[in-house]
Amino acid sequence: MASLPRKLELFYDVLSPYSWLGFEVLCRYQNIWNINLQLRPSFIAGIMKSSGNKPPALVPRKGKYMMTDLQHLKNFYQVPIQAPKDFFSVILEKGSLTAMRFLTAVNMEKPEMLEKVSRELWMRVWSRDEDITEPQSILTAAKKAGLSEAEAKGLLEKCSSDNVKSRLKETTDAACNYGAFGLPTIVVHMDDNKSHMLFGSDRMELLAHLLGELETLSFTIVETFLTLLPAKFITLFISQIYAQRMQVFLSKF
Amino acid sequence: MAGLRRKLEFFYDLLSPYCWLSFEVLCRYRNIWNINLQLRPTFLAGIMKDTGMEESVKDAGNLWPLLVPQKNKYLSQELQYMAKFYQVPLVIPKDLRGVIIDKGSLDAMRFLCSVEMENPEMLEKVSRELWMRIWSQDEDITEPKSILIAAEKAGFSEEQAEFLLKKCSTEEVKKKLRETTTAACRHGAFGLPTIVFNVNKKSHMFFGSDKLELLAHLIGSSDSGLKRQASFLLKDRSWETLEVMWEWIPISGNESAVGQRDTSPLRAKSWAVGVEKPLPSKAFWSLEVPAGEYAWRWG
Repeated sequence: MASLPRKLELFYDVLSPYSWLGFEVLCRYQNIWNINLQLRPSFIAGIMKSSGNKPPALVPRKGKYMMTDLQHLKNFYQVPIQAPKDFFSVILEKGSLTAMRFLTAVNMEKPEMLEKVSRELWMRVWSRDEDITEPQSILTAAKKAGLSEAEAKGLLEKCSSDNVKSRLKETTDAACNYGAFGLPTIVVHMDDNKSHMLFGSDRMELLAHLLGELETLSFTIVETFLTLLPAKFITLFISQIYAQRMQVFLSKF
Repeated sequence: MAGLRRKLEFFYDLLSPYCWLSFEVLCRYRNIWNINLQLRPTFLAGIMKDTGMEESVKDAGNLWPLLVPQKNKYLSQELQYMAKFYQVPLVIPKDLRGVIIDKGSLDAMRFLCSVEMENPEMLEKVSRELWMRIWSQDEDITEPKSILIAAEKAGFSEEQAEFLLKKCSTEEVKKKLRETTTAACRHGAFGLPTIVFNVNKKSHMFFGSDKLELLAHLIGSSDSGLKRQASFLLKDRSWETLEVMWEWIPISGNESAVGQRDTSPLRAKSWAVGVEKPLPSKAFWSLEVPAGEYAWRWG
């Protein structure tokens, strides 16, 4: 008998490229692993302020390393990540407050669209080097994700309401309470009421290991096809037979 | 055969637990990946200073991870997971700040440099013994006596160990450590462990122990005989034996590339993780690392 899906919270900000990588991996695996993925849009500048940490790019060598690292990771995770030309301006000056408030509003009103809208915003800033601070930019992304013009405008208006502002603050504080000092931060709640916090997109293997799902983790398309599909079918098949037999057995009493 | 091996430089310092983790993985995989692993003892404090990270909170640069309270807390917790995942007997010393920031590792790293110059084949064993002291048994590595005990445990005779220890205070060894640290900085290092991998006349720099799967992918993709080496299948075993199993699929018809590899004989077995049963249909090879080579000594 399978256990209940484990709750897995992903705190992220569209300004963080590593958040995008973690987001994509978890979205791919949310139906394969026995998890209940909860996306939690947070505000990275708030987390930095609260923990006293600083963005790694402020150390010149770390910034340079990040550029080459992202090139490798792009191939490895197969996510079309491309650093913006004016990196410092995008990250430090322009920021992501409006965008994250918009995502918070989407999460409150239309949570089923959150994944698509987040991805569209990431594609803008971290793939096509486009703006995400102007209202028009956000509306374009929202429409591309599938929201209608009216819905998108309504959500954008909601951004300036106290409700949305305080919700974003609450989510950011929740991440800090878990011990976050940066994003992406993943919190997985296990069966025995224990929770584990992991920082960074390079903890997927460790996360899989903690969830007991290491065998199903693979990062190439060929591998995925060969290992996951059969495994999934076999598990479903066996569990169905088992369930049927249990029913027959129990019906006798 | 040795000429076909790709050069992989591993810059490390005893103070960093992540260095130990990646050191162990690289030692386990050095023959499997057909790389020429060059261990290069470096001085972490030197790198931090060069990057401008030595200063305190007031600095516009970055901070030692220990100085950000949340990072400190996260580090201690995460290392426990990593120890289990990589099957390395890592234990956090009680006075973490004292060991890392106050005591440091200058003498120990100088000792490793003199080992590197005189007996490079012993470098792996001595590094491991020193790591066992500081990061498993919570013992000192700054006193001369501590270093001698570790060296003798690694297999040096008492005279050899004392000779190497005396060599530490010579200008030659001090210069060597400085040179290695500068070399790491030239590659763009801002911390340790730093791995520099040369292939096809290009060099790639990786920081941290969490890039090993990425490194494997790069090594695999640059090796004409192997399709991919991305899975780390770690058996959940006790501390007594450290067998790390992994699998790869050779492209059929490329047996010549496989034949070029300078490894111990391949045993064609199919293993599932944790279960000794053949997996269905997929044709793959698995290489078992003999348990004897990596037996740990406790106590």
